[in-house]
Amino acid sequence: MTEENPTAAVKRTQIIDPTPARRKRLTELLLAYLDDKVSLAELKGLSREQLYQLSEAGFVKFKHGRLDEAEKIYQGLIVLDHRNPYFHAMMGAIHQRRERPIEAILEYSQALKLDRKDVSAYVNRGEIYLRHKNYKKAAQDFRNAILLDMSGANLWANRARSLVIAIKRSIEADKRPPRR
Amino acid sequence: MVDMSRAPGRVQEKEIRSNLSSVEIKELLRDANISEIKAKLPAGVSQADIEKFLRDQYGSFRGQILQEADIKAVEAAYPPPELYQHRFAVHHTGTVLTPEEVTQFNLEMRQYMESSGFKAMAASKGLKSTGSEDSVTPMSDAEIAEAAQGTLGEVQGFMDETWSMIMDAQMMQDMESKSNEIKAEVERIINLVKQGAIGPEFALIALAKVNATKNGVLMTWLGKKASHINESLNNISNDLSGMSPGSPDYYSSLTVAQNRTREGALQLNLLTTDMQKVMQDCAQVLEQVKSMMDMMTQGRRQITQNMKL
Repeated sequence: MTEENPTAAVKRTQIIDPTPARRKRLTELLLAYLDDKVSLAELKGLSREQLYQLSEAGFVKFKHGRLDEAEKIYQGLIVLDHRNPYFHAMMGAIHQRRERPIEAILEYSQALKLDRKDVSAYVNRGEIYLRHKNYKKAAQDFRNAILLDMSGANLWANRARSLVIAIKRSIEADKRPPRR
Repeated sequence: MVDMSRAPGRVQEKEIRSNLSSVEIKELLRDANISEIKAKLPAGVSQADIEKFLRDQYGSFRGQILQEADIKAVEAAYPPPELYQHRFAVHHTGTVLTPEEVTQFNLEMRQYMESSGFKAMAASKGLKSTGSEDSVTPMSDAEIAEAAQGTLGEVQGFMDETWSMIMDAQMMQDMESKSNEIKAEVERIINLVKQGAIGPEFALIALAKVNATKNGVLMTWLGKKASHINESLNNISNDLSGMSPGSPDYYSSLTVAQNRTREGALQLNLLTTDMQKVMQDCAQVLEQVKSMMDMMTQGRRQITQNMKL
């Protein structure tokens, strides 16, 4: 398979004949799709730029609190390209804002499975664990995030640094005997 | 004097600072341009040094005093896609399905599903078509929609069940932690009562508190359950309002919604009854404690009166 040429991709119409060759190609495409080597967007002919533009539109809606619309956009994007960790992480953030912790953790975990270096996904997932008093997992996620940004430039890693203090305080508060 | 042979760094910055701190230079910094300031400074300090120094000062002023830029992210935020462009993989060319290919794919699949091999395989797995007993045909659009609806229902049911289990587990955990918290306190109070340091009423109050705490956890659990049922009732209502009354499925959906609402209302009633029981238990214990304390006070008064006689 060759790399994408944006102009050629739009104009391309492949008509392969005779039928046996086309049948072979269809089988190969189906196998590639089942093996996660090809996305639905690629089968449908949607370009990387189109997905990126949709993602930008979804992000703007997410940023301005229009979560319903953002959710619909990212749901569609996940169907179109389930291998993109950004879509899963954004979906996780949407779930987190809508107070659906289980779904958010599932999406963040999927995003991290696809990209082990996503600082923001680690921090957001860790924060959900922290809020549900799962301190061990929260600490692991914050540790991973901090290790990925030793310069202190990443806003999410900085949040992880402050949340580590929150973990310590929460553990101390849990251990403290009740007030008389 | 600035020694330009030194490597640029903190020392040089300090020296520039000392040169710029005289009153005369400070006056010039307000009104004059950089060339005039440079003329007054000792040799060796270049215009670039001064510009860099002032730029660093301004940078540290913005960073450390104004702090205009965000230092850390807020909760549930995520960076914009432009920071993650590398995640948008370049698409392969040659994978686009043409309409002819889609048609052929559907045709091939249909032929395969109608083949004897597929039928034998389906029969071995116990699959039967809705038509004749020995033939397996592809699902119609309505069947696919029905199957999808069924799967969605199963997922919803699974989520409901899981949710209920999570709630129960949380309740048990809360109950355990609250019990541990209060146990130590009660033991301490009972010891004090045994030593005679405080009155026996306090032991009763402590025991009433144990009861109230446990009932409080139960109330929270019941409240959360009620809230979840309420939310699912809202979802049913929203689903129904999203449908057109003219649609053929509207009547059946309405019936299903009515049944579910009735079921939800029944569950809410049961939960309300449970809540009442918990509250009654709490009130009863408080009443008993109060009456016992009254009896103790009365006994003491009696003893005092007898002593007077």
